[in-house]
Amino acid sequence: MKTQSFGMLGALLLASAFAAAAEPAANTPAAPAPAAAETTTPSAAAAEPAAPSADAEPAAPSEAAPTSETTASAEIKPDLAAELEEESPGVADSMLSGESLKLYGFGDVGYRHLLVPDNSPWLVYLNRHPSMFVGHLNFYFDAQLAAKWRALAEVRFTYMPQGGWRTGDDGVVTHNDTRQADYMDFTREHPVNGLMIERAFIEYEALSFLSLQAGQFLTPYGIWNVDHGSPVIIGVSPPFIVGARLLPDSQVGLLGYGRVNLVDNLELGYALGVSNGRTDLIAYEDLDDNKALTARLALTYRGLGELTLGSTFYTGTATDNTRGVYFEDGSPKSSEDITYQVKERNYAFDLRWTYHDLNVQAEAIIAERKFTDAGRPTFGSGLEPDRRYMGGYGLVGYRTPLAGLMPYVKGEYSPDPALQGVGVDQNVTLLTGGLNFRPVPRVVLKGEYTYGFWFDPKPNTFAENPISAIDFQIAWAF
Amino acid sequence: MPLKSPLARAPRSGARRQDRRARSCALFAPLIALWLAPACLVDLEDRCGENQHYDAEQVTCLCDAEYALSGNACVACPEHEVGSPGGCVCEPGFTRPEPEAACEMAAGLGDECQSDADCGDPLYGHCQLPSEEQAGYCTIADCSTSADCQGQDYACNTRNTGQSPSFCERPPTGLGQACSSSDDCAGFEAGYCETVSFDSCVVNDCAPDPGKCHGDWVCCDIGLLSQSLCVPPSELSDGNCPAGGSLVPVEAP
Repeated sequence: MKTQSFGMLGALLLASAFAAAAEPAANTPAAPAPAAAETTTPSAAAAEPAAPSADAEPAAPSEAAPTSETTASAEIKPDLAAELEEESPGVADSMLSGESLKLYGFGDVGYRHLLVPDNSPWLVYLNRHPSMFVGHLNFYFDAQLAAKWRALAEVRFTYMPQGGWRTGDDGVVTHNDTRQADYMDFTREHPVNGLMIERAFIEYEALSFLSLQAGQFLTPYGIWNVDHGSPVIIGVSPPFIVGARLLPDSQVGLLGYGRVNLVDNLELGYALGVSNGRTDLIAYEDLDDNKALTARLALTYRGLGELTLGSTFYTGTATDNTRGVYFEDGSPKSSEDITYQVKERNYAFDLRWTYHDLNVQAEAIIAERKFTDAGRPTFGSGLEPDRRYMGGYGLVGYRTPLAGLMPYVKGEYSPDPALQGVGVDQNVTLLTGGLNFRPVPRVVLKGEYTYGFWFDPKPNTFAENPISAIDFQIAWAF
Repeated sequence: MPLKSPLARAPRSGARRQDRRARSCALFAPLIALWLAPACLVDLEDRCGENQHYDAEQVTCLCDAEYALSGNACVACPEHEVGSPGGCVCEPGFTRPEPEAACEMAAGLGDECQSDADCGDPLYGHCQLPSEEQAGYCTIADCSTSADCQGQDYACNTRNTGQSPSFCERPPTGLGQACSSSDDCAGFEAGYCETVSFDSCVVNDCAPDPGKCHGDWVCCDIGLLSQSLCVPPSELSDGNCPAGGSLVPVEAP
């Protein structure tokens, strides 16, 4: 009986998902709120996904265009609901109100043209020829499990690893080839692509000012890392310092967050998390005994537009190791050999001010990395030194009355540890100017020009070669 | 809509507001302390590990002298070894007979050898083998003149260009040793005591094989002595042998 119930439940969930997908306009609150982030999204909500919070009013399923699936669901709903009511009243309530699962997301299509000489070394890694591409295709699976219980998963569908560039031991950069013989197509080869789990957690609203998440959550720092949906961010690409991942973009563990009003127009947002640390290598296992801590404080003042000042502290240890078996008196034992281990202590600061149609935002990060003796990796002809990275960006945009066009400028001064591999250990300076145009609430068109260079570049390194590029993007929320 | 805390719902009276502020401070204090507590993790004046130093030019940590990179640590080098980017290597003048063996005093100029590998001192890295049966000796290769040969009485032999590189050839045994008769030179390669001018042991009977003279020494057939002797080129006068002798040419190999 139970099995049958779950089968029917699955059918209902699917039907609900189809219904939601069939009529996106009827599901407006479930979308990643494209306009909100630019104007009124409180920074304290950074700890929440870009999707609406649990207390947002979901659209009734009846608004969706009826389909055979929804009709069938409606027919079996009362019986199933009554059955579930006894064991899982929350689920039944959700199903009855048609909001058991919300499916929404965002996508973007881009065009990039690098304006560099044909022999620029950057063209080893960046697209040599002007290219169009589907950038993001992120889906949110948002389920209200019961009163105060919610689950959210964000999954990015990607063409990678097919085609990804990788440098071989011989210095030649080749792209990945994941094509496989498709047994459903006369074993003709087809590329196999992947997906990335951006976050997946279950959330319990313990108190009105405290919610708890367990699972993979976005690190609550800054503005861009949490509001990362391409329709809600103003520019085409995330700031360099965010892409540099000086703080992990997501972690697996526990996160508590909330906000309280202190006095009129002044709100305090906070978050405290404990996790395995970085998920870059392994998202489902901690490779050391050290648990990472994340803490965030943000003050939002709504007396003059909305001004949010936030800061995040992150400390953790990132480790990589190998394991082996050895024998002691004939008995098998195991050991680990640490190949990489670094302690991190990072501070992130953010500011966002929205006043009518003006948007000002800035982020700064100080990241410190200290290697342990056992885990200091080789670097060049020696070993990697401890480092302190500092950088940030500032962005100003103004939504004009002229067809809602928003011109914006962005200045960045940012480190990127990944560039150390090509001998660049200085901060890059990036200057960007662009236009953001939202013809309809769910669609955003962007175009921007970026010029990047290094002050006083080290001779005979990539840093001697400035980069400039033109980017266009169409982003949509669904 | 932001969540409303119970604090926010409190009626606005002065006392309550004060109470609210106090509670806000109580909330702030530990959280701010969280930020202030941790000091800097990285000391930029000491950003490398044990037995390492920071090289600003290469932006990397290099091992201190006497230490070398082994895996991802700098380990002390054994005796007679110094650190290098490739690991511990033998000090100058020392060599490793086997790849994993300890460094030993390298064979120097004139020391016995079987191959170049036995000549650890890079300056004298060439093992000159007189024949396959005989042990060779370490010397300098690719010399142009005897001035390139730093050893006493070593002379540059450029005659064997077809077989081996030019090399600094060691002097015959006994050469230059003071003597009053050939008995004093017995047993030496320089077995003839020249008593007219030098009173020292020299190589004689070189006319049949002028190549017998080492290095750039030449063979002079001196009728006055009824001997052919090996003499240094400095003894020639305008290319002529001393004491009216005649120069015995060396046949091309």
